[in-house]
Amino acid sequence: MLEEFFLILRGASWTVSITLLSLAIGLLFGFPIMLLRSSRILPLRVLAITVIALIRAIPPIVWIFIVFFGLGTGVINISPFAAALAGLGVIAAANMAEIYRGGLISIQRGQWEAAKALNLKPIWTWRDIILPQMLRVALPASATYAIGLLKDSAIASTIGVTDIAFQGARLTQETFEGLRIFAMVGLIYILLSLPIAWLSRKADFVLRAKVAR
Amino acid sequence: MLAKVTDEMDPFLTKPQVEESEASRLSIVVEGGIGAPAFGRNTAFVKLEGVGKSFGSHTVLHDINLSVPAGDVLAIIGPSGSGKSTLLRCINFIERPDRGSVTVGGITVRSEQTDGARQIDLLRRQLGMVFQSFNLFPHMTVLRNVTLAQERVLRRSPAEAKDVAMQLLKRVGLADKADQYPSRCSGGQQQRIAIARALALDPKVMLFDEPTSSLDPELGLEVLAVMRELASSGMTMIVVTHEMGFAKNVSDHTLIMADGRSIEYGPSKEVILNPQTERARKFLGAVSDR
Repeated sequence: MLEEFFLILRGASWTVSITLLSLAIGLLFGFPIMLLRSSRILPLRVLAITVIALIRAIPPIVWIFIVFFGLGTGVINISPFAAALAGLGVIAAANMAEIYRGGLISIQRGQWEAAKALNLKPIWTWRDIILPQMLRVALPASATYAIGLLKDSAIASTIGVTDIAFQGARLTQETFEGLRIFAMVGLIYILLSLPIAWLSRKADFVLRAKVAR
Repeated sequence: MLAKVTDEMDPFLTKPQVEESEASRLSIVVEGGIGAPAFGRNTAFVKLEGVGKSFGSHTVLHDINLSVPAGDVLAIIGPSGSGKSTLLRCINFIERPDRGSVTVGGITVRSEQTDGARQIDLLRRQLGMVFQSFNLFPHMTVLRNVTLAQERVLRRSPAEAKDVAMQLLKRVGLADKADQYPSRCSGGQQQRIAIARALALDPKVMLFDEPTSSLDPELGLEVLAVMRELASSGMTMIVVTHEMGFAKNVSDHTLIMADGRSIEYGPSKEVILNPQTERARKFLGAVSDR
C-alpha cells in the first residue's frame, strides 16, 4: 500500500511543475491583458474583453486538446507537457487578468489623484502606489485560483503527461483497486494544496495587519 | 453640519502682510529661465483666463477669470455643485479644462494644448494639493507618505527627505506618528499629514479642496490651525471651503461661486459682510443662520 502511494507520488513533480509554470505564465501575461482590458482606448478594450471571454468560455480540456491534437499533429511538434502548459497558461492569463482588474478597480480614485498632484511619474505611481495595493486585494483570489489550477492540471494526464492522475489511472489498470488508488490520488492533491492555502493565509494576515483600514 | 468657527477662536485675525522677501523668492522662479517679466507686489502669481469645463452638454464652469497674487489667501465658497472643486482641480490639471488657460509662476498651459505634458509638469511642481478625503497612501507609514515624492520627484536622498519630512511632521504636530500607518490616525491627523506631504515638495501655492468637510468640527479645528499658521507664513493659498470663519478672518480675498459662475469677488470681509448680488446674499444667509 505504501509502495502504491509512492508510485503515485512519482507523478507529483509533473503536477507541481505544470501548476507552478502555468501559474507563472498567468501571473506574467495576466498583467498586460489586464492593462488592455482597462485601457481608455475602446478598440483595445473590446479586443481584451473578446479574448478573455473566448478563453474562459472553452473548457480547459478542450484547450489542451486544441493545442496538442490540433496544433501538435499538423502544425508544430509539441510534447504533452508543453501542450498542457500552453493550454493552461493561456487560461491562467485570462483569469489572472480579471483577478488583477478586481484589485485595480478596488483602488480609490483619490489615490491616482494624489499621485498626480504629487507629480509622480506613471512608473512610480504604478510601482509605489497602485501595484502594492492592487496585489494585496488580488492575493486571496489568486491563491484560490492557484488551487483550482492544481486540480485542473490533472487533465494533462489525458494527453499523456505522467502526473499524479496519470499514475493513479495506470496503477488502477494494473491492480483493479480503483477506489483505494484514487482515494490516495485525492489525498495527494489535498496535501499539495495545503501549502498554497497556508502561504496565502499567512501573507494575507501580514498585509492586513499592516494596512488595516 | 458646518463647523461653527467664530472670531473668539481666532488667535490672530489678520495675517501678517507679506514683505519684500516674497518678491525675492519669486525672482528665483523668474531666473529659472522662463523669461517672464519680474513679478510686482500685486501681479497675479496664479492666473486663470476663461477657464471653462463641460461634462457632456452640462457646463460646470462658465469661463472663469481669476488672479491670485503671491502671498494671497483666496477662499472659494458657494453652494454644492457650484463648480468650486472643479475650478480648483483645473488649476493643477487633475481635471482638464475644456477652455481657457492657467498660468502659475510664469508657466502657462492652455486647455487646447495637446503637447502640454511637460508644461503641466512644470505647473504642478509649483502646486501642492490637499483633498477632502485626505488620500494618504494606506500601505505606507506616515513618514513614507511624506518622503516618497521627495525622493521620486525632487530626487532628494532618503536621508534628506527624512529630515524634511520630520521637520514638517513636527510643524503639523505629528512627529510622534511618523512610524504609524495612516489608518491608525484620526481624520484630523490624516489631513495634517496630507498637508505635510504636499508641503514636502516645496510648493509655491497650496490648493485645498474642502479640507475640513469630512471631519467633525473639533478635528476640523486642528486642521484649520495648521492652515492659519501656513497662511501667516506667507504661503499663497487657494481654499475651497464651507468654513465661513476661515473665509472671513484668514483669507484675504473671497470668491463666491454659483452654478459654475463667479458671482462675487473681493476682499473677504467686504464680500461676506456686504454681498452685492441676491444669489450671494441668499447663500451667505443660509450659512450664517446656523
